Amino acid sequence: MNPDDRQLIADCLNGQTAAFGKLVSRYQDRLYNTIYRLVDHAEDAQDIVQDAFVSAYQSLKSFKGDSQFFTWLYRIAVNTAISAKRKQRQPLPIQVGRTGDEGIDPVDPSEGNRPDHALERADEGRRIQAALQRLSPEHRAVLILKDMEGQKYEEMAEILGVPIGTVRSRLHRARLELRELLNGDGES
Amino acid sequence: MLSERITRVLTAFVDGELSPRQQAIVRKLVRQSPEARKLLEELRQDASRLRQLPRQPGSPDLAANVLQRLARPPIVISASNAAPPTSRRRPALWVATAAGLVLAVCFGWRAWFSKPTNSEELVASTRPQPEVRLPNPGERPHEPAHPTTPTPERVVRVPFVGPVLPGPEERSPRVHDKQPGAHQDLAHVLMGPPAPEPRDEKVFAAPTQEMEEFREVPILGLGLVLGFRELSSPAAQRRLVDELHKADAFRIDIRCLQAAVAIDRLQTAFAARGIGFVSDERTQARRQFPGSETNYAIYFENATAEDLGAILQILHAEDRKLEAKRKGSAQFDSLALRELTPADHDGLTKILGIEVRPVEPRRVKSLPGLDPRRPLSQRTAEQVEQSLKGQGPPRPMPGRPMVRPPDRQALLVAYNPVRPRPASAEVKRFLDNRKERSAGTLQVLLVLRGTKK
Repeated sequence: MNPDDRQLIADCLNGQTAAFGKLVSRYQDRLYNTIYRLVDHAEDAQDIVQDAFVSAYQSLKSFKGDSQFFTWLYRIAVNTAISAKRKQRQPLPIQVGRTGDEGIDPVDPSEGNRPDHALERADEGRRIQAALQRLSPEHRAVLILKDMEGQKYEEMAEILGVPIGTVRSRLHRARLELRELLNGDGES
Repeated sequence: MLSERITRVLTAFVDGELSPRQQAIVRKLVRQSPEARKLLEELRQDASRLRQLPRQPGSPDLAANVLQRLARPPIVISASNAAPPTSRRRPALWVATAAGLVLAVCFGWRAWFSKPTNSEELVASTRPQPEVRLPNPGERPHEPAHPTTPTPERVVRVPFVGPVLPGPEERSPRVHDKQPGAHQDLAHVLMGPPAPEPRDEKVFAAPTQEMEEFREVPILGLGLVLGFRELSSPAAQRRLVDELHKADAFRIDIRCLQAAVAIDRLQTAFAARGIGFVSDERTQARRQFPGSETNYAIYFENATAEDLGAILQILHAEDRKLEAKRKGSAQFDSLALRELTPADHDGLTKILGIEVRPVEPRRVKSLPGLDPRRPLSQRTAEQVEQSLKGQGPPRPMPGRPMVRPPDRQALLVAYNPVRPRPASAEVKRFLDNRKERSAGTLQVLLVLRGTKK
């Protein structure tokens, strides 16, 4: 485990609860991004992340330290998000983010300030996000953890609480399924 | 059509989890198979698109919200305070052994709780104002001497008002006693570095050491307890007037539905009497932050009994109007009025974080228009009565208060769960700028408590 995280957790368990605030600050954005992509709903993602941190604090003594703290935190949050998505009857449509158009990146000056380029990327982002949301929660989770978070099989297995072979299988099916959705969407 | 074995290898290649030897095999495969090459390229592009999705930042309030949830005090019940509420509702034994005292306490108690309320929420205590041991902001967190030895303290018997968030491994309030430092210090130290945004710190300042349970209203001792609805009756008005003439310093606790709404209406009512609010930064931030449950305290020294009566009447009149439109929309429930005690004065000092020395009212030799043969108190009483009956000076219409430029100021501060910064600049400025008190004015500490969950 990250030595810094280990120290913060030890401090927290010793009564220096300011340490938990540091952990929250350290991982909140990363965790939120993952959960947001999972549930595709800003407020739900915020609630899940908050709940995950609170649950983590409450169970801090049960954290054995044999994995990364973030992995353990992820597990709490991702499982909650997957459970939440399972309960939904229909996949959510793409939701515009709070700040406006989702997926519009800042214009890249190196490309000569091409407005159409930004729009293309935004459109592509919406398409991939829409396809992502049509996957099952389990398939969506593995793609997000692998491609967006760069997690290894072992970490993903721990987060999801499944064997590594299951992670490989899910990734395999998820990639093919995503490909089919994008093909059916008119992409080449 | 590619076999599943091949597609598995291709997807694993995209995952980046193959050994160098396995990667070499895949590269050889795609050189030999256009179909495999095409699929691999598409899968890699899909993965790239996923990686390029913009990262969604969390809300700037996310960390603060987490910390706020964790900072809510859990239920702490010590053995001495563990008497079940029902025992207090059967005073028969008490009446038998101390009939006079218990009857007086129960009368005040029932007057306070005259409206049907959730009995679990409103637990009146005859004990002295309990203290909750929470460290001051900046104070070093208390290190428990022994994990199983609870720190001696007087604890508040608080009704449940929200999610119980015990510290690590805690599953009951008793377990909490083993690690009193685990969460008692949480309130202020969680706001330590890395510091949140300044506005967040003002809103989510550490709960004060003196934090009370929001809906618990301690018995304040014998005084006057009135339901706002009673203000329509002349008898209640007379009782209020009589009480306001017993002293020149009072504490008034007002119960309302939602403090966030009620404080706005109080401000309007005060403005109608020419009294403007002055607040510190934390209080202003709490008022602007939606959803923050806050109780407020208002301190002023230069209002007359007439002013107070008029303010209460304005609030009551507007409530009646709202109630007529929609049942249950009245904000103000009841008030408890009593003389300001030395303990209240100490409490005021703690609320404001600075010693408060009330400005003494100037001695009056004679006032123009005042009949020296009639006692001042009687004249004031008549004015208050007239005001309450609507025969006094023109009152602002409910909802349309008369606009008067404020010539006096009242200090509005958050009272629970946060307090102003100790000796905040705004509080100091308010205290330093106080003018000489006019004769007949009162020193008042008004506490506004919301009861709605």
